[in-house]
Amino acid sequence: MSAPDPPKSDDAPILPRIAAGDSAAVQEALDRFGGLVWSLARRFTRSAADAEDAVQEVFIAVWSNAGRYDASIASETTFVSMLARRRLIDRLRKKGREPVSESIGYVAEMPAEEGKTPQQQLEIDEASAQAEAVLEELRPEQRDVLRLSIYGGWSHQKISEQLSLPLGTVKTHARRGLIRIREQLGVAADEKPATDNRGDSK
Amino acid sequence: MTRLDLPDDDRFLDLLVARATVGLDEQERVELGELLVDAPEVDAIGIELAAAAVDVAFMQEEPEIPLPSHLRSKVAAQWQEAHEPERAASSGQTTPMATQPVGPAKVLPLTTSPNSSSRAGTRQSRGAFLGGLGIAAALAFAVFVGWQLRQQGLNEPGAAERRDLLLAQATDVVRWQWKGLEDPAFAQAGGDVIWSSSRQDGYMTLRGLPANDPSTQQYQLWIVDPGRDEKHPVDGGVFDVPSSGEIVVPIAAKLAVDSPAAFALTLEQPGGVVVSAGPLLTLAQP
Repeated sequence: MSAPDPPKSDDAPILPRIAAGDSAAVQEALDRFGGLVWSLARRFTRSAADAEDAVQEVFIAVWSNAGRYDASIASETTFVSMLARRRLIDRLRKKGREPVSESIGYVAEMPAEEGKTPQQQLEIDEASAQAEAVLEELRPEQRDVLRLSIYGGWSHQKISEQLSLPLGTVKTHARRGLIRIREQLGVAADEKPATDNRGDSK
Repeated sequence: MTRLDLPDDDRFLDLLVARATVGLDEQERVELGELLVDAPEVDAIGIELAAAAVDVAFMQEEPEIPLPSHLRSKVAAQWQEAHEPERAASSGQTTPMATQPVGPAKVLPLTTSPNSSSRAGTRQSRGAFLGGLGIAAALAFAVFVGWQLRQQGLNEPGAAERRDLLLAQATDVVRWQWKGLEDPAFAQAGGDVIWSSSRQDGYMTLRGLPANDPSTQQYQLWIVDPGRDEKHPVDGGVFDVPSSGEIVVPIAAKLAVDSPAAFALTLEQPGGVVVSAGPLLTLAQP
């Protein structure tokens, strides 16, 4: 993982315009977040049909919650990703499964990747930079826990078995890591140094 | 904006982390919902935002696949259809949502109708309800908007969580299954409705209902309450079904419902009606 770029601010926020009923902003949102949501949905589902249903649910949630977006708390990409993850995790729980972590058949049916627009790349970089900065500081063991938990969707028990770590340690790593990243997101939003070391004090 | 603090309680924090990573089971959702209700001042989404940022960071290691064009078109069309009423409102065809007052509670004045005879064999309440369905004016749009906004909370427990809370806490909850009626399009309708008369709170869980086009029709709930007046079903609010998946919808009864005998759904004009011409599409009763 390379060193992150400094967080960048959104040049043209989309979600407030969607909340105001701007249909052009919807197209921009699909340009900017479509690939992100689709990638998440593919990872959290096991068929193309399920992924497509999930994407539609996610964007309904995005449209519905666009008016609640607060740029002082997170980037639009992070906010959309949060809405998507919440919906996708909920779908998985109802089906009693974990996300797929390997390539699945229907991916091959999808069209080859087209080049990202500069805006797409900027958004992804911005959203990831703050988290990457913290991930870089974590011990490999802690980073593995976050990867398997958040990206892999593994249960804490499964991570414990896979990494031969006590279950309590896995939970602590996940919690401390997320608290630190939350603080980093707050730092980026407020543009002031972090002072809360709560994550390391537990 | 002043940032909220995370909860001090370890269990509370564990639940927030679990929700952001692996999800919660029903019992945990109830527990977290109770904690959030009791502590509205805590940062309920900060951990989820952090998890989302981490996910995006890890995703940088894989190529992003563009949204398939047919799916993109479908998503864009859904937004377009859902927002046509808003555009009409903003162009002056409808009273602006933010300023229109919520009107008085509405009930359905019912009269006997020939149409009721073919369906009266099930239950008296249903027959009486059907008999009274007629055409009337639309509901105040603000009622619908307010109801929708209450479904959109982020820091607040969602409808599914509040439903779980109601089931866990109320001692007088009735829970009946939805069944489709004559219309074949509703043959697969399922889910349930729960209602607590002591709390005047309830939720519909709906599956298999056809998605509606909000620009032309919306689903409307009716509640038969013989304790009030069996011939005057209470308006339970309008809502949309965006896809064939499962949705949880809070009930927004416009009058107190003390002894419900049946719940029924109709499709009405956008915003709903005060007197429906039917037909009933799904029914939930003991």
